[in-house]
Amino acid sequence: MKGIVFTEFLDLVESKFGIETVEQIISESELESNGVYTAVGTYKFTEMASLLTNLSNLTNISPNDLLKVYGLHFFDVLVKNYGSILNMYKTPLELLESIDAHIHVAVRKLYPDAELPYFEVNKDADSKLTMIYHSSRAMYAFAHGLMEKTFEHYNEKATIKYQLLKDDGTTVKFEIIKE
Amino acid sequence: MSQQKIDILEKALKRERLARKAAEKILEEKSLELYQTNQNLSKVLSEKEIQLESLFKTIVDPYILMDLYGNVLKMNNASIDFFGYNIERDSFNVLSTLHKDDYEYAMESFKQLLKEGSFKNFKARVYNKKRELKWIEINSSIVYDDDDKPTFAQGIIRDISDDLKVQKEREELLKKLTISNKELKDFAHVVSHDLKSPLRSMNALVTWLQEDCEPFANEDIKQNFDYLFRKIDKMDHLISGILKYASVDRVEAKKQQTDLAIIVQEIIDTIHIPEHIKIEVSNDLPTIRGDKFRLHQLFQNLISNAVKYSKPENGFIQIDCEEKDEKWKFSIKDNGIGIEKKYHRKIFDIFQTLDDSQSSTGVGLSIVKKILAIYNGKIWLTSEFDKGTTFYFTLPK
Amino acid sequence: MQHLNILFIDDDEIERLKFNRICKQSDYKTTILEAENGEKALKILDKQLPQLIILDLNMPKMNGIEFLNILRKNERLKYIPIVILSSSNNKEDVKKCFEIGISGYLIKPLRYEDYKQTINKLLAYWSANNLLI
Repeated sequence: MKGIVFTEFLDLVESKFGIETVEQIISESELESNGVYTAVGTYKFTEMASLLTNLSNLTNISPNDLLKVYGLHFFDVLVKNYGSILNMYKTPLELLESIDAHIHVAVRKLYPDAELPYFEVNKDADSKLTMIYHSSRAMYAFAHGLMEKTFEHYNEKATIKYQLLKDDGTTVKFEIIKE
Repeated sequence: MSQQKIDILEKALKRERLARKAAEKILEEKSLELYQTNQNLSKVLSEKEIQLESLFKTIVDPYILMDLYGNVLKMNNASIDFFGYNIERDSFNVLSTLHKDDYEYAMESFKQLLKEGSFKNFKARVYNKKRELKWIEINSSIVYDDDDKPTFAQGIIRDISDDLKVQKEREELLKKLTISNKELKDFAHVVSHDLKSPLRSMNALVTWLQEDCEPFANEDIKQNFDYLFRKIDKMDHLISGILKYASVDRVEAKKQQTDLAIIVQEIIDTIHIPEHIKIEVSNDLPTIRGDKFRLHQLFQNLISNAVKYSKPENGFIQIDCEEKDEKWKFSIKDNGIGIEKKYHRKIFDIFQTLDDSQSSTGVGLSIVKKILAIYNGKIWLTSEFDKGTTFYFTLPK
Repeated sequence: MQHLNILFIDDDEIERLKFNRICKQSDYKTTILEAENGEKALKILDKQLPQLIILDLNMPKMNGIEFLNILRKNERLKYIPIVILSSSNNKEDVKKCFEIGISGYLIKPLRYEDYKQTINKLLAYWSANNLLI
């Protein structure tokens, strides 16, 4: 997993829960990197999983809720660093439709070792999109957050429902209906 | 600030430092990678450029690369030589070289080129720098950019001015030959009729003389009248022979698949074959491409010769064929009186006949030779005096 | 038996002699008018109308086909039957003559004997079928 996911995560934790919490979850997780993350590096996903679990225990907030909040936050990181890509899409639905076919393709070109989820996309109607999330990392809540923030960014409203097709969250069906 | 907080901050600072160092290391690695990739690309690029240049130079035909408006961007040496323009010195647009009558065709073809991506066998007239007119043939194709949009057009040019000239000359020659052939035929026609007219008169007059002399004609007189009639007949046959010979066209007549077995059978059925002569045809007479009429003439002349000169009793003629060296070799064999070796060449000359009888015109074999010449065939013979003669000849498949 | 008046047109003197002699020696009553070319033939036709015209095609000055055309266009002369007696067996000539309108086309044989037979047959035919003008 790319370093930026870790660095932004820890920055968010620091701003919401304080530097002590950061210190704590780092020392509690058994990290090969010893908590030293740079945005341009690459680290094992299991480290993220550990940090997340320990944070959840510490704050009594479920990992998925934490991830959703992180997702909402991470969208702004993407806008800051890759805003030009977003300008290529005129509507949020257009953007979401293109994630798998275009955006992730471009990401992989720049970062060949990026681990990204795979989306099966189906445009059911002009204002309805079905996206099936596939990933062994089961970070669908993170994806949910990103999706919601997308609509906010374009000043549009939508209803996003999801349904776990596999209990472990590795396959999730999202239904996005624009209002 | 509490010591605990200080500790935490120190740890965080330490992590930041280490993270920075890690980032710097990654940066260095990436820079090195980039540099090496660059080097490789440069190497590959210059290799490709060398290959292209050498290909460019070795193409014998003129090659040009132009934009979609006809402005030439790249020329090889051959095209510089051909057009006389050099883009290193002055700009050059192919449209300016076109002959005005071919302009519309060129526009149409260019549209087609853009549509299909390639265009073959474009023929047009152009002027080079010296304002010399040349006929060219171009095979061209479009060069596309990464987005599949046409950006350039390229073409290989063949100067066909000479080819066309040669073709035209051939056509002229053929026309002249056809005319001269017709003139010869017409001439022969006229001559033969003009020559035959006095013969008719002579025949009538000699007949009347004979009738008038009857009361007192002795053997000598009767025989002289006989000779006279024979000679008149002979002259008639000779004239007919000339006409036939002249009408064997040197210009190619229509060629079709002709079954020689059928032709030979036709000949055997129609010419007069005395009872004591037997003709045997080998069944593998092939079908060849040729003019039915001429081939009929060819075989008829040879077969009737064989009949004429064969043994008076138990005459036997054999017609055979075999494949040899991509051609057909035919043979017509008789068991007749034979031909002395010293005459083997002469008999093919016109008017040469070894037979004094009035029906021999001496033209038959010369016609045979003329027809064979048209087909690039050969004819020769073997013969033994009083044993027989075999004529051999070849025809292409 | 009918008397046949025939106009024989040929530039060759011997041909005219031949025709005359054969007609005289034949079994038929004939009166032969001779002309050596088209012009002279037309002069004769001004004064009398034969029952049959025998015409050679190959003549100097006015050739046979020209003469044929003149006859066929002439109101007075166009119904006289014409037989061509020619040395030429040129397909185009034959075709042209029949297109203009003739009753027969004979080719002159070489031998006098053959020619005699041909003329005798001709006389026999026209005696039996001749038209009275």
